[in-house]
Amino acid sequence: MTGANEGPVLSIENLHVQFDTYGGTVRAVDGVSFDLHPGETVCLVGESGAGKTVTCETITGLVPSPAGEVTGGSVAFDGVDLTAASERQLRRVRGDRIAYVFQHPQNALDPVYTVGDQLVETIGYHRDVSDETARNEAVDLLDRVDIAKPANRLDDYPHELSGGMRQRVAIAMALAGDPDVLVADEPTADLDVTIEAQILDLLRELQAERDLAIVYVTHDLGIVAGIADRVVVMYAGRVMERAAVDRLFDRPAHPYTQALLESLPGRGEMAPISGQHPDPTDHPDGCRFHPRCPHAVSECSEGDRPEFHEAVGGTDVACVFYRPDRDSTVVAPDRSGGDRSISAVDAEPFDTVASQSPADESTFRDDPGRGDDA
Amino acid sequence: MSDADGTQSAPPIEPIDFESTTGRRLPVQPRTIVFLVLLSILAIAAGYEFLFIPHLIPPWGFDTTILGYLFYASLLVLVFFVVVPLARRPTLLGRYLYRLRSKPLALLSIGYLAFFVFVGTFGPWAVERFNIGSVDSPYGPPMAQPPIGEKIWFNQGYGSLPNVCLGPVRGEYCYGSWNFPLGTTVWGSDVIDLIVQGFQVALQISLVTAMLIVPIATVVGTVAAYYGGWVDELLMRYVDLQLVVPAVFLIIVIQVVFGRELLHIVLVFGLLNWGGTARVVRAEALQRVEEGYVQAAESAGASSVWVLYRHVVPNVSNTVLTAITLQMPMLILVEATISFLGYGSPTEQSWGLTINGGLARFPTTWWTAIFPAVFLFLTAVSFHLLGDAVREIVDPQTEGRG
Repeated sequence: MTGANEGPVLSIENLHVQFDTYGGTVRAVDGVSFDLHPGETVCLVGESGAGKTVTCETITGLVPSPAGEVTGGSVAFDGVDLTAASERQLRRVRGDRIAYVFQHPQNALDPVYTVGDQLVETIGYHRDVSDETARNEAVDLLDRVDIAKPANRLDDYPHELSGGMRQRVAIAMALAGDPDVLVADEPTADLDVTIEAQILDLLRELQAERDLAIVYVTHDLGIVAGIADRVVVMYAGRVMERAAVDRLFDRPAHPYTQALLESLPGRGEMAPISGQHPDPTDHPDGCRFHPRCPHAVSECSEGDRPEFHEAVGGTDVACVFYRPDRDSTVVAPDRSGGDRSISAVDAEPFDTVASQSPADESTFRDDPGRGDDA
Repeated sequence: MSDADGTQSAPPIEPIDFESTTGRRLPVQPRTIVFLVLLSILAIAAGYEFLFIPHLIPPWGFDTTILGYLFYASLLVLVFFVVVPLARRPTLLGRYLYRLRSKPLALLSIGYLAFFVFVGTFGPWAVERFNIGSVDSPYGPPMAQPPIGEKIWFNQGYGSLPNVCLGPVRGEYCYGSWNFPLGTTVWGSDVIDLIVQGFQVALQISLVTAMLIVPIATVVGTVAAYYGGWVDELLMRYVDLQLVVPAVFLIIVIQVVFGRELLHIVLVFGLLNWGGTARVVRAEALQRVEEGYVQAAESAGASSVWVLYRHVVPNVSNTVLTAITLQMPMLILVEATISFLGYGSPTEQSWGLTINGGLARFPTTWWTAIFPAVFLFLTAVSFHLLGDAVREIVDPQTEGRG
């Protein structure tokens, strides 16, 4: 993971997305900003309903309109604002430049077509190639995502594959257009942990190979520790904190991030965050986390939102305690070292499963008929 | 694409080329070309017959009604979109048959419907070709002959019914003869001939109406579900409007105003009675458009029309097939009812018309009413059983290779 050595490939700036529902207007994404550089992985982390998925879908205009609407901000990709692009222009970007892998592998593939048909179809979206060439490319793609005997798999129907293999095929389809950016929306949420580790390994390899920039959505901090370069912590449609991954685990700046880490098994006290996620149609004023925040002061409930301030190590944090005239040690006492280092999280559960994976991978290769979650 | 050794250097970010051609077109299958060619030949023949030589016999020796041409077109659709795809995937067909093994009634109904299609298509031609129900008599078939095994009171007097007996006469009774195994009507028509014509009418009604309903209902249902919003609202309110006006009432009005023709029944049903099917298709499609593969295709750059055609429609095909099969018995029964009531075509021998005629002397010549009624019943029940079987055995969500 090479990190930022040139300008961002994708830059989301103050993005606002809202949905008109019968229950009222839901401001699902309310002023989200982050950059993505070539070859790096940015993780969007947060509870369900934080707006992670909507943010991802908005990048290439996949949010269903007329219900959903981008009401402000921009998505700069390659010097073009994608929020202002036409549907026709967005279709040129989807798949070809920005590709997606979604959550449920069991229905990521169309049950009525073979794997080969679907790969050939996807390859044909953006390039005019012959059937023969497309099929050869399909075999290469399946081979690249570590599917054994790829040529034999072309004529299989999705129901003949295991969940892990289907997600590999979905990744192969996402790679068909040789994209610059891969948006992975909880691609391993439905898979068991050994398969999850294999898929994450695969994504890391592909990233190194192609200088792929990855936006990875998850609520699993174990995955974050394993795959992220930088982390964007979201809560109720807003960014709470943007930090490098080691900083985030080392010195979580925002009280919400701290609470999130506290609730993690194997770290902290496994204390759940008290209170309820706010009603999406009626967010509180000021910082959206203040009703649940143990450090909240009256200032937290004033105004529209807290400004971003820089915390130690270049972390951007939206919390009033990080204003220069305030004492940030109230919310984040200096606790560097000790058991709160990244290795504590890294060792468990992520590395445990990762160390199992090579053995698993080899049995899978030796016995392709078994499927990889057998 | 992918280098096995993983040393491929990072591709530079190219500017987005918004104007480049959008991918390749998938090759058109030869089957589709053959289908379109045959359909065009039919269209040209129909156009020639109705536009250039109206009321004359075309050079190929026989004239065809508009309904006849629509029927040929629907036969083409049946062959190219049901028979050929099934024949090309024998393992799939085998699996369907395997699932049917525990449903003897469904198997019987499929057998009967195959017979129904065969007789409806070739029956009238065969009756003429093999002189079924003919007799060496200058007066044509005699009136009111009983079927085999049945007798009718026969006094050989002038003006009595029947006045001639082709079969053996024992005592005061005329017995059935093999010339007319199912007897004749009081007007001297062969009941077999009438039943075969009834097969043709029922088959034409069901196939042509299905050919009209299936595409309209599929397009309306999937488009409404996929685009949602005001498109959905507009289409579904129109469907509501259509369901308010009963097709049967409309048919009777049209038959009275524009003349009684089978074509009117077919057109009114086909063009104005797809609302229920469209609703069912929409309900199914609403689930399908939420599926991951639809999202995946959209996020990979497929156009909405392509997603609909390629991913939504095939996945609702079993719903369409079930809905249309279950609508067939209703159609055939309604047409029979309309004909029975005397609002049908007077020249097309629908079963309803034959049954009506048979009621003129009902208990005496029961065979003219009962035999067509039996076939009407069998056809309606078979379609119903087939519809139920289709719902259970055809499911594209779990379909395998073949």
